[in-house]
Amino acid sequence: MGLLAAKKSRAEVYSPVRPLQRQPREFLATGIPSVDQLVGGFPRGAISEIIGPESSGRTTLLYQLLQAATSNREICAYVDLADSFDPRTASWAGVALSQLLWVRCHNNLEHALKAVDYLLHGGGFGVVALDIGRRRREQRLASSYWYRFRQPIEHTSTILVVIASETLARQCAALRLEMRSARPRWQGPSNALLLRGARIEAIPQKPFIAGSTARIEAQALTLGD
Amino acid sequence: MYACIYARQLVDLNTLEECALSFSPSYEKRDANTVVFGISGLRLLYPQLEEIPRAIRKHFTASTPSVNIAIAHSPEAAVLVARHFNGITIISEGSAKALENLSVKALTLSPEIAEAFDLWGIHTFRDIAELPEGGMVARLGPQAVELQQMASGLSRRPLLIEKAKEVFEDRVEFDEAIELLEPLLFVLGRSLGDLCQKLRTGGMAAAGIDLKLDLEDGSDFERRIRFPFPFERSRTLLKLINLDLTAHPPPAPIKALALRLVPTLPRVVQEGLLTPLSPEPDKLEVTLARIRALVGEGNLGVPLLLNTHRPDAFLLQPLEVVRGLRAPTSISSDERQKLAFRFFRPALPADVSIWLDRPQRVSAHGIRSKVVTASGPWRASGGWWTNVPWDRDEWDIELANGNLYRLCREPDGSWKIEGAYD
Repeated sequence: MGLLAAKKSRAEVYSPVRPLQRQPREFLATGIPSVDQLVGGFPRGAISEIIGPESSGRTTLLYQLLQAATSNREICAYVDLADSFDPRTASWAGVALSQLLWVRCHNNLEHALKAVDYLLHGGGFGVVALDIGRRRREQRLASSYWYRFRQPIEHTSTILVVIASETLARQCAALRLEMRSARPRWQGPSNALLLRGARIEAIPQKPFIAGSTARIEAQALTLGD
Repeated sequence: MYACIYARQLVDLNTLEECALSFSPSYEKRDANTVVFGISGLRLLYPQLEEIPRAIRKHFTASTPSVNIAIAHSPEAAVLVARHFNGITIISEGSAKALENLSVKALTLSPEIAEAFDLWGIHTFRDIAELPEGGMVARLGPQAVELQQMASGLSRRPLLIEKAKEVFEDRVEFDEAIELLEPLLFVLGRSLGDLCQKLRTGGMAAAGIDLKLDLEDGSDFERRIRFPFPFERSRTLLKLINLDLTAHPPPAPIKALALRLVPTLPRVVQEGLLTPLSPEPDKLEVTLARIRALVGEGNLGVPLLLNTHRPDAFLLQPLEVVRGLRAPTSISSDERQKLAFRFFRPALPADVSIWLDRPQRVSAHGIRSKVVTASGPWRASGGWWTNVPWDRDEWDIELANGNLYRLCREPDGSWKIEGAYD
């Protein structure tokens, strides 16, 4: 027994191969109770995806995350492939615009990916959002990019969030939320309807939690706001 | 020992400064007529103390107004002697004896102290020196000690040294004109290394770079790069020049380069344990320069909303990271989530069929559907008092597939889909 114990301890000391010590992940809470209770927030040092069709509430959820990060005094970046960012609704959602770097890529996917690469390797950003939105068929995206993006943020507090209509990062993503088409809320008589907001649903695909859905009530910006 | 030069008539101060600099690198410019400097290091050149004022005197020609030169143990004593004794005066031993007959008016006194001295019958330096120190302090305050030391020639105030403005410049001329960026960067790297070392030695950092290239076709090519943060590392500066020249290459081969660093005080920030995550300034600047070179100058920055109701009105400003203690951003008390909007830039031209003054069907690039619900028209206008007035009707529409868009009708009757709620 004594000899075995000695061999074991020597193997622990001299073995060049050690099991990977995985640290428990930190999460950034979005401030939306239903989402935070379901997935705990967005994992730091990892890639997250918010996928879904247009008008499904992807951007609403992203602005909420940016609001949480900027109110925490972190510097964030928004890499905007389709040049679709709206500073007014982002500001209304509580995003501190002075702490948000906006990179407009005018539908140049290569520029967007390179910009994300520079930002992640530069380091120090709380959230880097890559808004791919509705990708065109001719815009091909190599899967190797996601491995490259995952590596520099692995042991940092940076969150890389990707908004797309379909999953892109696949196994490189630590969190994937699928958004269902939002149901708009209209108010008023039929001849003078007013868009008051929308009910949004987020379903965690990774980690998969069977039968669970986070419901978000979002209000629309009106002239009085 | 200290020497003081006092010009009895107003002279060009540069003459006095040049004279002082020729004897000592550190001098004090007391006023328009007076300079003081240390002469302790001159004893090897001039073994006899008397030789120093004579050497100083030789700097002034017959055309310059007459000057008084004084040598004393303290700067204050040297100044007082130079101002009140004509010609050359050397006080090698204690200065009290030489100064004792000077009037108290030679000192810079506050009106209260001048009145007190007048009442007490104190008229000369000797009178002040003979007063008991404790009594003077009790009556006139702590400045009485300084006055008494000056009157006794014992003041030991150090020189307030006038530092010559340092210039961080370098110029390199090439035997043959350079066409490629790489050899140019090699030379620039060497120059930057020397200049940054000089900056660090002086406790300074670079706030910007001015680069001037003499081109083979006889023209000049200039680049001015300014940083939001001062940098000290030559590698960072070289990278920034590299990115700038890549984005703005010179139009012809380069014959010579002139490089100038704009000096400033280095940034000192007190970091804290709870300081939030933010990018390192030098890394951030290089990252931003790289992205700027990629996407273009006007496509990167922090959005600033303009004070107008016109949709999509904003400016892009440079990102300024305030490290250290930052005030937390105020959080809205309204806990409800806000529905975001995504712009289509440019807006999609649309064909809209109308039924009973309401949109019935919409057809645009990638969008073709029946309108299920429509809210509008919401008339918006503004800027009618300017050269760029705007005016339009807005509709919020829900299509059969559940998508929510904002539809706009321009004054010319054309329809556009401005964006989508998301």
